[in-house]
Amino acid sequence: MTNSESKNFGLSEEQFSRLLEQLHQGDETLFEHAFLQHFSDCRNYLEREDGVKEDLAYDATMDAFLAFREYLGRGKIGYGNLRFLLTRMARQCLYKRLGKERDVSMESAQIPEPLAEEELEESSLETLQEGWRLLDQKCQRLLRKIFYAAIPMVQIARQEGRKETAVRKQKERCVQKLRGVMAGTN
Amino acid sequence: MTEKFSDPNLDPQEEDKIIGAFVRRQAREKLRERWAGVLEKDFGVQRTPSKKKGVVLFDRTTKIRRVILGVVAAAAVALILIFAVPRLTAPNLNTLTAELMLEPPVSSFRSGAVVTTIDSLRDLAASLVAGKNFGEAVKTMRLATVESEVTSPDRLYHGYVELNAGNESAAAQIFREIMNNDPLYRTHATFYLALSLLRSGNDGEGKELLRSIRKEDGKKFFDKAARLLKAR
Repeated sequence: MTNSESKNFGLSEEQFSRLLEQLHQGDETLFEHAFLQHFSDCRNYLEREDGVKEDLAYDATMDAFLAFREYLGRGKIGYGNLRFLLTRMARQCLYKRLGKERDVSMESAQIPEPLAEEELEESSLETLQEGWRLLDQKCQRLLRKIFYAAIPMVQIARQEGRKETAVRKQKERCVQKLRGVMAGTN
Repeated sequence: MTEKFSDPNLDPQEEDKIIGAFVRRQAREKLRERWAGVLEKDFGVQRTPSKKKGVVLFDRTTKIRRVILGVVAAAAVALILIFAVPRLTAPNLNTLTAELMLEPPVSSFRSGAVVTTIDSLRDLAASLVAGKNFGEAVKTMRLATVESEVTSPDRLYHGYVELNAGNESAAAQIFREIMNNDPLYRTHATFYLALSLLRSGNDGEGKELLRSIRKEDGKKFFDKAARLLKAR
């Protein structure tokens, strides 16, 4: 393994590009294969460095892996020193769980800014979940591609052999359906 | 917030913010659950809830007692296993390798949404393997591995069908190449190379490779390697 691959979880630059392509197609296989094997190293690192219990270290590591996957999908993380970055993100997630202030020294790791999220109240969340459960699979898949995988609509159109306007219209229909389904459950 | 979302005149950007936040939350929860399962099954990593404070003293005494009893019991069992139960109960190596080599090295290696030529070949190979037609599967995977989009999982699968078609040398060559060149699939390739060598009678190198697989490389292969090393 080269030094570069070692810093990047054994991935060559080519494999990293392939991983990103797969994520854009909604395929988690290579990501899970490449990264989950390092989960326990990351968790052990947090336990050792910050003296926290196993379950807290596990949860913070899981938070970091989830965020890492999202940032990769959105193109916010590039090939270089993925191992260092993920470890720093894990500590950041741990501090967040502990309610501590973010350590200034971590700024140098160039951790992407967390996504600014709308606050979802518990009662609203329940209604949305019920509405989502009643939404058809095609709509769920499309909305996940757009909002979670952050795949641009033009790319979704290309993947599915359709026009971008058709994808856009489908998205609007799905949102209307979700509204309709929620109105029925409220 | 749901009242806000129900408003048909809601600004599209606001609408996207709400849906986006919800969809991402759903997706994360689903992935969290899925990865917890994969971590436990493939890597032996579990989330162990920590004990509450206030019962530490009682727990410590009980713990020490339990540890001592555990050590004594383990020593007794070890002695019995070493002296009283010979390797007659160990599984047969040949039978075990035949069983383990039937398990494919990778579960999924499709490209994704768009079907490519190599995808068609992968699908064909998988259906031939399902029908235990390894001979034809070999021909199919030989075609697949000359395609430009060929991946290491494809090569692993090629080696796997060669092995099950009785072509141990060809399989060994494929797995050795992956083992030496792709750190991401090194453990898979090491295990299947070991199987190929054991099947062709090269027990020495085969077992050495099995011993080189560590628990950190993946519980699944570590456990399988351990089973093979115990077999006679």
